[in-house]
Formats: sequence, C-alpha cells, structure tokens
Amino acid sequence: PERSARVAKVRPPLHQYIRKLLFSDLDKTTIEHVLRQLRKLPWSDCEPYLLKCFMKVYKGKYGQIHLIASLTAGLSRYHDEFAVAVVDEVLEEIRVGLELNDYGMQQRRIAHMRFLGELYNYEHVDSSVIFDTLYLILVFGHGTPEQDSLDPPEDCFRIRMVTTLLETCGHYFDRGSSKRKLDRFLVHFQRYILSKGALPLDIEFDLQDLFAELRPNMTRYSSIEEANAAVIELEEHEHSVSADKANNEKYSDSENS
Amino acid sequence: MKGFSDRTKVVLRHLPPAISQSTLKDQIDAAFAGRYHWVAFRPGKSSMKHQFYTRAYIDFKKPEDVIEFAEFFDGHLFVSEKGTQFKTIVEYAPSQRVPKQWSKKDGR
Repeated sequence: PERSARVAKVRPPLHQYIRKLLFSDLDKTTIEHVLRQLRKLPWSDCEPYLLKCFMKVYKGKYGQIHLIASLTAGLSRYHDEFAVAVVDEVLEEIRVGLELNDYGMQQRRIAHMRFLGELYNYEHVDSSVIFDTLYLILVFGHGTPEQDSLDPPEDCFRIRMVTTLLETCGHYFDRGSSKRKLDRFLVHFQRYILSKGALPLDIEFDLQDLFAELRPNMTRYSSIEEANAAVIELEEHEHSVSADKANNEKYSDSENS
Repeated sequence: MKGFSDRTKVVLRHLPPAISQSTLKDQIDAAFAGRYHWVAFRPGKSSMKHQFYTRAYIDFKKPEDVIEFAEFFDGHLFVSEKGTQFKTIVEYAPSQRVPKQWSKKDGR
C-alpha cells in the first residue's frame, strides 16, 4: 500500500522512564523502589504527565490497580496537590464515561471503578464520595431525552460498574453509618436491577456473589413492585426520622429559651 | 461528612479545550478575586478523534460564594476562536478534598 509505515511515537526520556516505572517495573515487591524513584522526579515538569499515566490504570494488570492507589497515598505526603488531582480526575473519568456511554471505553471504565474503590481502601476518598458515585451511576441521564442512549433498557453495564466498586471496597461498609448507607443503597440498586428485566447469566452470578459477600441475609426482591414498595418504605422511614429530629430540636430549643 | 450547605469546592466543566489559564483566571477574578483559597486548572485537548473539555476546580472561602459563582458561571457561554460556543457547567466537586497547605517539602 501507498501508506507509509506507522511512525512510532517518540517520547521524551523522562516520560519513557515514568512509563517504565509504572507499566513494567511496578509490582508488590518493587513498589517501595518505584515510589522512591517517583519522588526523585522533577515534579514541576512531570506532574501533568504523571497524572495522565495514573489515569491509565487500565493498561496494567487489573489485580495491580491497588498498587497505583497505594502510590497515590504514598505521594500525598509530599505532593498532596497531586493526590487530590488523582481523585478529582478519576471521578471526572467516571462521569465522562456516563456522559458518553461509549462501548469501546468499557474496559477502562471498569478499571476506573476499581481504582476509585482502591483509593477508598487507601483512605484517599470518603465514603460519601463512594455513595454519591453509586447513586450517580443509578440515576445519571434518567428522565432526560438521552436516557435511551445513555442507559438503554437492555444495557447492563452500569450494574457491572456498581458491582466492581462494591467488590473492591464494599466490605468496609459493615458498621455504623456506612453500614446503614450501604443497606439503603442496595435497596435502590435492587430496584434498578429489576428495572432491567431478565439479566444475562454472568451478571446475575456476579450479583449473587456480591450479595452473598456483603449482605448474605438481605432479601432479594423478585419483582419491580416489591422493590418499589421497599424504596417507598425506606423513604417514608427517612422522612419520619428527619421530622422527629426537627421536632426534637424544636423541643430542645424551646426548653432552652 | 459535609452537607450541601457547607461545600466550598466546585468544578467548572465543559470549558473550551483551548482556553488559556490566564484568560479563565481573569474572568474568574473579575468578580471573585480574593474569595477563593485554591484553584486548579486542567487543560483540555482537541484531537481529530476526541475533544476533551477544559476543567477548573475552585475552593471558595465561603459556601455562599459558591451560589453566587454558580449564578454567574453556570450556563455561561464561552466562545472559542473558531466561533464554537461552549456552555459551561458549574457543579459541586464530587470530592471536596483540597490540598493541605503545609505539604512537606520532599527531602527525597
């Protein structure tokens, strides 16, 4: 053919070195070394490129994503601005993924969910960020004219996003307010799942594993009506609790005056 | 956990890919100079295949300033050199963390 051979991208040596550290050297035995080498970089020049590489977690092995999260945590001591940017960036990637719903991006979108979960495990995001993200996944684009392209009825990808995130960090939501938040979310999630109708078997098995792992005694609703009723009950309960709270506050106010 | 009423960090999304940091900063400072602690600029990119919007994260000193800022910038149209319009979105940043000011200097 007339077309000339593809010209390989030439990267500056420093970029090549960063890529070597992150994409070929990094494993659990070398992470200390990689962290030290990253700290030695000229940060003002390298920071934007490093951020770009950290977002390429989908290039490495899926089981190694936690190493990138660990590096983020390790670097935050000296470069907190960078660690904050990593979190902002991965949340943006997740959001853009929902906005585009591009089939070709699915693998990287799953990797980003895993990465966010690992950032939680390394105490780099709060549980509120995790739950905000989970709810965003359930509702994004719903009720808009684009709903059918953003989350078509037969598309189960969002279920995979949720299971990936909860597989990664859901086991930490086992006590106190985060336990209650997960219980509540799983009711909403069940309603979302049932709105999809019959699920492909692989998705159904992932869900069974997830519920068995996180909430073995939780009722799995079998119809959308049951799930709807459960959500309504949940909301009524929350409403009465917050009304009680308001009343108590009023009461204690009048007591004080 | 922060409630909505005390969130101070916002993200400006869907800014033109080619907007420069100084242009944007001038626009923000025209009304909001001195009212934020921290700003981070994430330049976008236009290539043949994809277009990535520019973003900016801003941490305001007071939650009320966020409201005023959103009234001003949410839906604000930026026009690029080629005449394309970009309708900006202002949202609370999903993660409210901002860098600690005292980040240690790395002794390496």
